[in-house]
Amino acid sequence: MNSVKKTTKIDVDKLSGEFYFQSLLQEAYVKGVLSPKESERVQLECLKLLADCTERFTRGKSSSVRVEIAQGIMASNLYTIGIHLKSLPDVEAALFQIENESIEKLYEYGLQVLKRKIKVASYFYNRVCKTKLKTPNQAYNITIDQGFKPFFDHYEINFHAHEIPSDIDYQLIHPVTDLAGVEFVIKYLENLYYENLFCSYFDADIIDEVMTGYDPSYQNLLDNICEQVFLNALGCQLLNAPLHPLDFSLADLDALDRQLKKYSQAELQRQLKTAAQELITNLLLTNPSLKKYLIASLPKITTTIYRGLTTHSLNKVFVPRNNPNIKPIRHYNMGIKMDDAAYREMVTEFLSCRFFEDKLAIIKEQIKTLADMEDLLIAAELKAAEAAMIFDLLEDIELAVLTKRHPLHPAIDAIDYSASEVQMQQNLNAYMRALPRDRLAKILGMTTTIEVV
Amino acid sequence: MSFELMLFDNFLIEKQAVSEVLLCNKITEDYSLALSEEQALELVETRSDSLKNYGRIEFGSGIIEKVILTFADTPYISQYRYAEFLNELVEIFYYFKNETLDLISDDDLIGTMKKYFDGVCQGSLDQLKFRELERMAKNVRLGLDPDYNDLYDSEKLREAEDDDE
Repeated sequence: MNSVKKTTKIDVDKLSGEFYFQSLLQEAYVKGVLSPKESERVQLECLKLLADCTERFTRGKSSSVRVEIAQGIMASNLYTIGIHLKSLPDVEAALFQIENESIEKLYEYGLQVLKRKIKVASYFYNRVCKTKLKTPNQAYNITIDQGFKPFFDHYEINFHAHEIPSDIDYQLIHPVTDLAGVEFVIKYLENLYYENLFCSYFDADIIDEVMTGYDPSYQNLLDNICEQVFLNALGCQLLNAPLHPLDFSLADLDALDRQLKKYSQAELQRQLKTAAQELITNLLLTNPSLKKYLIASLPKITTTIYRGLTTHSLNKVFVPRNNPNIKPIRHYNMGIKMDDAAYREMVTEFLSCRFFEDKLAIIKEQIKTLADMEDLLIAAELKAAEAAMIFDLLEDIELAVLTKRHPLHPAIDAIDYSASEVQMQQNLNAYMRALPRDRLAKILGMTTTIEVV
Repeated sequence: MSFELMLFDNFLIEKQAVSEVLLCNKITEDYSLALSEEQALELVETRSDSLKNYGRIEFGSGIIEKVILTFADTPYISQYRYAEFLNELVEIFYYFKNETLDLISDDDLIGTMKKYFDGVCQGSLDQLKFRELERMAKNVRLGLDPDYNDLYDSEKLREAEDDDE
């Protein structure tokens, strides 16, 4: 049997989440669902309720209060009534209650709902604490450890129900908007719980490395962690790579760029949705709310990836992991050596030069790679002053490569190296010793992180 | 439909308030004090203006009757300027309600006003407003005893020093 759906003149989408009661009354009045006489009764009863609450607020000791206080109490009363009306099955039921119950009664029902909601908030807070991610991010830690303490200690449902006495700094993928009071806190904690739940499928140390790759000082940032983890997981899924490492090499980023740049934004979102569903299956995610939460974040994530593609900054979107304890290795390619015959000819010409300026001119003209330069420095058996002038032509990284390849070890040099090589090592060593201390330290630092190819 | 804070129909409220004020005449007549209907209306309007000026809102009958009945037996008031005197008292009351940050109850504030007015101020509204109540409000804001008077303390100290000499 088909269920009969009630029709209502009220447009539910126009109702505010934060000011539900006021917006419902306004909609009902505008659409003629609530008569002017009824709406006047509601207003007068609201004022009577305000007078009663104000008397309770001042404990009968003052007949007047400052307007801001009265406004706060009024907002709290309307919020409390709204929270009860929201708990009803539909707008029709809410309007029926407005018409047939006194405002004071609705307020009392609202207080009961508020008390139940505080318990729900407490439940979600416990879940958040249990699934808390091990991270150095301060906003995340402080928000969970200390941010909700004022709420659970001081939330006051009688006169300040619409307020949020908490210090929430950490930003969620889906920011909570259009809610106030305990409803805001519940929604925030619920969202944070889903984010924690998703992050719990990955190793906390790996997440830390991902976030360090995102920004080395991410512990001081207010950025969301789960979003970056989800982005990296999606990237791994798109590459059909293992999900748990959450890492990308340069080749991976190139492959992603080639794979995704052909799509329009709408097509990209479809591809990401498919990838997200595969990701959910592969990670064996079972919580339906978590699945919905992740899928709902796709439009935002699509925009981020699309922007990364158009600005050629995909490495800022799919972030390679960065372990601050491991220094990055730089691969240095020495280059291809020139043809042997050409090399012999060049060396003969070089050695036959009478003036050193001519030798320098040959180097500048014909030497194109560090491999050739290295051979020439050894073959030419230069004096220290001449070698220094050639070393002056080199970049720091080139000097670092030479230092790494030709360290001066007087004890073994005589056996393992030829006289020309030892001469070159001595020249290089003398040149390096003459460099300013800062530059020398920089070059020696480079030698530890360079891998010569 | 607006949910801005407002009083009920002003006319009805004022009419009710005026009749309540006039009822006080039955008691104040024993002290040869009475308000005409016009003066009672003016007093109610003064209350509304003061509330508006000092950013306050009042529910219920308000404090006019309490002020009238508390000050009925003061020796410094006569029928001549009675209405003007009450208007000033009402305005002073709401001003100091704000100045004391609502930390003092209606009854205590009216009682304090009466005590100073009949006592050290000897019937001077200016001394009440600009000296005694200002000092009292400052004491309340600082968390001191409302009656604390550092001037009085220093005078006593000076007298003690004179006695020693």
